[in-house]
Amino acid sequence: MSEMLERLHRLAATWGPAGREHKMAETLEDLIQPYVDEIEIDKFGNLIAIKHGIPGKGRVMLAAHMDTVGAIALNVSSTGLIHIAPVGDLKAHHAIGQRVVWGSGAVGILQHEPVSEAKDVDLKKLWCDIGATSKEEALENVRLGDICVFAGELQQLGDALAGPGLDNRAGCAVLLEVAEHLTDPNVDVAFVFAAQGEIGPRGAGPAAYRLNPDLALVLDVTSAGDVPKGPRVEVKLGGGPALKLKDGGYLAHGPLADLVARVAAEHKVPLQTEIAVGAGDRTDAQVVSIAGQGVPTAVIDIPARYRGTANEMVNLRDLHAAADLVLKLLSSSLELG
Amino acid sequence: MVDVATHLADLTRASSITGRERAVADLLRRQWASLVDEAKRDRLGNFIGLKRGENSATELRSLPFPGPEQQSRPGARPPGPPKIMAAAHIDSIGGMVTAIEPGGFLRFTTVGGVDRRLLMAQEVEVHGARIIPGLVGSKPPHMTTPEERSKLLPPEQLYIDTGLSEAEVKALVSLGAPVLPRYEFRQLQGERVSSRYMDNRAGVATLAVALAELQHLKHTADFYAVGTVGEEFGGLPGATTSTFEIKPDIGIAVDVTFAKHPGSEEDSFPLGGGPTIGVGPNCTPRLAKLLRQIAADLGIHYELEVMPGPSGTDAWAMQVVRGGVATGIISIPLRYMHTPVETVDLADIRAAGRLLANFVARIDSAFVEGLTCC
Amino acid sequence: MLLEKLSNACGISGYEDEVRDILRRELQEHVDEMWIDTMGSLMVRKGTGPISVMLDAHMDEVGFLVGAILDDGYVKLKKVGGLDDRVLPGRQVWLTQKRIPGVIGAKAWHLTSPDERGKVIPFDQMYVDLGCKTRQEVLDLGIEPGEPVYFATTFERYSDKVVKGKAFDDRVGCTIVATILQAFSHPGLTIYGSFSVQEEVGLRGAKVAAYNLNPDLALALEGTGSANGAGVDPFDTITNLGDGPAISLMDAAGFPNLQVWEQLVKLAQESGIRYQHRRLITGGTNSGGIALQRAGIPACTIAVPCRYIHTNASLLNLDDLQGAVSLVDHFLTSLEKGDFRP
Repeated sequence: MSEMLERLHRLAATWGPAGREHKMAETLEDLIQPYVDEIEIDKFGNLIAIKHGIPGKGRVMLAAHMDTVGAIALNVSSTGLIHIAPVGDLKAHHAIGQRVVWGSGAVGILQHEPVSEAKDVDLKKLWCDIGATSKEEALENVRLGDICVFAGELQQLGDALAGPGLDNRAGCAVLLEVAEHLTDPNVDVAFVFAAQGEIGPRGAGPAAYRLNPDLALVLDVTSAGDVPKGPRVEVKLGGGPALKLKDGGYLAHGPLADLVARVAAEHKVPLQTEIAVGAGDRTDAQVVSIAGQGVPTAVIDIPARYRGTANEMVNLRDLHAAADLVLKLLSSSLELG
Repeated sequence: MVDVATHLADLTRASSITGRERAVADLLRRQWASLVDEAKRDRLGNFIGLKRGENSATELRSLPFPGPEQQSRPGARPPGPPKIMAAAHIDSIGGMVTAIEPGGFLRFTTVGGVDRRLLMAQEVEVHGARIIPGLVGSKPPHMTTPEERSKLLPPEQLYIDTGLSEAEVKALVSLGAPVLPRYEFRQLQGERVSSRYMDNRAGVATLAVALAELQHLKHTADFYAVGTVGEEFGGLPGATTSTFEIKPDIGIAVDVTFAKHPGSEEDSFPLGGGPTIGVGPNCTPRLAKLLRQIAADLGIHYELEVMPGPSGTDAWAMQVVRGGVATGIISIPLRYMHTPVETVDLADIRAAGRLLANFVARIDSAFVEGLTCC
Repeated sequence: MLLEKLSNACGISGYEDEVRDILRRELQEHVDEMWIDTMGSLMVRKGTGPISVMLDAHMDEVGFLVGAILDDGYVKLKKVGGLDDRVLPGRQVWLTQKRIPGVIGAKAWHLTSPDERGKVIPFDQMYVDLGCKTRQEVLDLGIEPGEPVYFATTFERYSDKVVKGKAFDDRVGCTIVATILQAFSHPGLTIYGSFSVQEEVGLRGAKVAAYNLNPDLALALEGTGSANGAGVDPFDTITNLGDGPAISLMDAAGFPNLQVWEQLVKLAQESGIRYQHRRLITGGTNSGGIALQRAGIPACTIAVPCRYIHTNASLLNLDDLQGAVSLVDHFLTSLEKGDFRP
């Protein structure tokens, strides 16, 4: 198994919804620690690891959010059913029947009131059944405020991978791959595994404020358009990483986007162009780019099918190409003119 | 003196859809060279021009200025001349090529609040390897049903026809290429002019008028004339980051507002009736009061613009950057906002520029010290 | 009673002067330093201890600004903050800080069509009647576009425990923070009282305050919705009046800091303070804005349930208020003793 795949399996086995990233941070710290000079978890819960470059040459921030969507416990019925609200963009129709795991380790099943039509499916009608038969029994295993995430292992399907939480374990795996292969960078490279990317995004902003980098690259996943009635975007699974030019909350920094495209072309790294029509998938770039005095920020997205479901799908070739592109960028001149 | 009509015509000619505002920033560096002491383009592309106050030795290379961290009390102002920043956004709405269809037709999406009702048959220019003229195409009326004709097509169902072959288009245009409305700058009757991008080149021209006025007005405050990026897309990135760098005592947003025309709303203002002065949570009462006082002293007619929440201007961001900035809003009435025929009255721009310049001249250390108190 | 004074004071977002003046007078003798920031928030400091805590409560309330003044002397309004159109017609209001009385009129029921009767009166058809006959008469009263307009509601005790008033969101928070500063001493801490402006229009004052104060951690004290009225499913009550202060689980502005949250729950349990959780994740509070300042500031929200929040009159239970004061005091003591480090 490749290092990348091994790391992905380990990340997938780690529980880490938005707002509860401490276990993910521990796993990531363990994985990145051999390759960096400094490492810490900041006040917001972001994991920040820095590899030193030549002093005075500047600093690049590489960011990937490390949290996943989930559901938070808000109420427990007298029969022991846990009523929930979404953490991040959880869709009710993706959740029905799924197996989930809570922070306490308790396992449950998400279920929904009977409906006659699909359009009546609603998060408010969803609950989690952990097998308890009374309120007290349920609360012994799950407290109000606890969060659950989709359970499940990664499944390899040829070059593709399917499983829960690949948004954004895929981005995290790319950063780890970059860290492993980055030798003697000119610039300081700050790897930021950001907290609370699925709500807001939030964590990456304070991290960028503190690091004050000269530029930033955000690694995330985006919905590929190559499925029936998929999003209207010219991005395919396996077609290479996608350079995001626009989504609902971010517009690319022109000169930096040009630079990324140029470096990809020079080194023959396949690169797709992502222009979201409508809101699109938001990323940490939205808050990183306006932190402090402003940070020119580019987004390199891993195409994914079935985002937000218990079986998101990415292609390993895209992850390798993304890591390759980031490494090529870090060894290029990053002058934006 | 600045010739407002000429300057405005030059400004509307420069391309600057949100995200790619460099042409305007470069134009300002050239055309404002004699109006400011120093100028730069910052990391995100904001234009920052500095006109120093009397006896001030401020230099732009010391940006970003240190925050209030070092002060005696949290949020106390550091020593030095008063700093006033006036922001006018230099970006503008437009479109972006999303796909090249067989036959060389270009699909596109909009950037910023483009008025969909005006897209069909709009003349545009696609900024590829060169500027390519084109037309927004659609099925002719003979081929459509009455029902179809009463409906607007979403931008994604329209396309741009450049008349070029698919091969030519592919050689010249890459995905993401900016699309701008094509236009002629029109001098209408009297002092009224019409063009694309008066939102917010009218604000930029107002800053130019203010800078010109300040050449013969005494002022102790450092005056930063800032062209901000990214306003039309949301999030106000340019105003947020330039305010962070400059850390002004006072921030004034200069933007456009709705002018009266047949069918316009209750909250619109007469074209040629002078600028508006904002009031509401986004407008520090002491600044609004002073602006009104100065306007009265100068005999400038103005209207009050009530802004109960988000003002829709750069001031909304400026007010809450770092430890807070006292903010004011001056707006130029404009008809047909976000269309290629935005219309303003030059007299309003001149009046707003004079108002801003005299405001700058009136601000001294005592005034800015008084903005926070014990 | 401080809550009564604060509730009766007028202070919509951007026009918080009256509330600020009351708090300044109340706190003058109890704090070491006091200042007003650029946005108008009142900041106070008590103590010089090594750990700094920001206690935030917002001074502003929802209300209106004067919009267009019509030729026949009626005044149109613009909403400041989130207001439900259904509760506006038939309300008494005060215009400007001079409290000029007016009423929000509505067409007589007799004159409405059957169709109209079943519908909410749209806001753009509402206006204030001051009794003026012309626009000039209105202007002569010193009323011009942009002046504040408030609900004309007077504080009242309904029972030993339950009180009625306007603007409990967030004068109850102001009362809690002021009480902590007046009645308790925590010399091991630097306590910043942040009475912030403009929460109702986007959590604005507290962001700036948190940037300036840069505290080690922050608590936001709030009034929050409660829906335990007649006919409401117990699942949907958000919070219950009388069940104690609500410790936030999550809201639209984000998660509370987990360690601070755990500590609050632990202290409430250990010291027998009745508490509840807010069982809704929509609506934002200042702790979400504070948390994102600079490199991040740990923050959590404690809220007192208020029925009929964001209307002209709401109800709260004084036991809940007292519970919140007690919880904050216990929390500060635990910080001071070093039982808990952020």
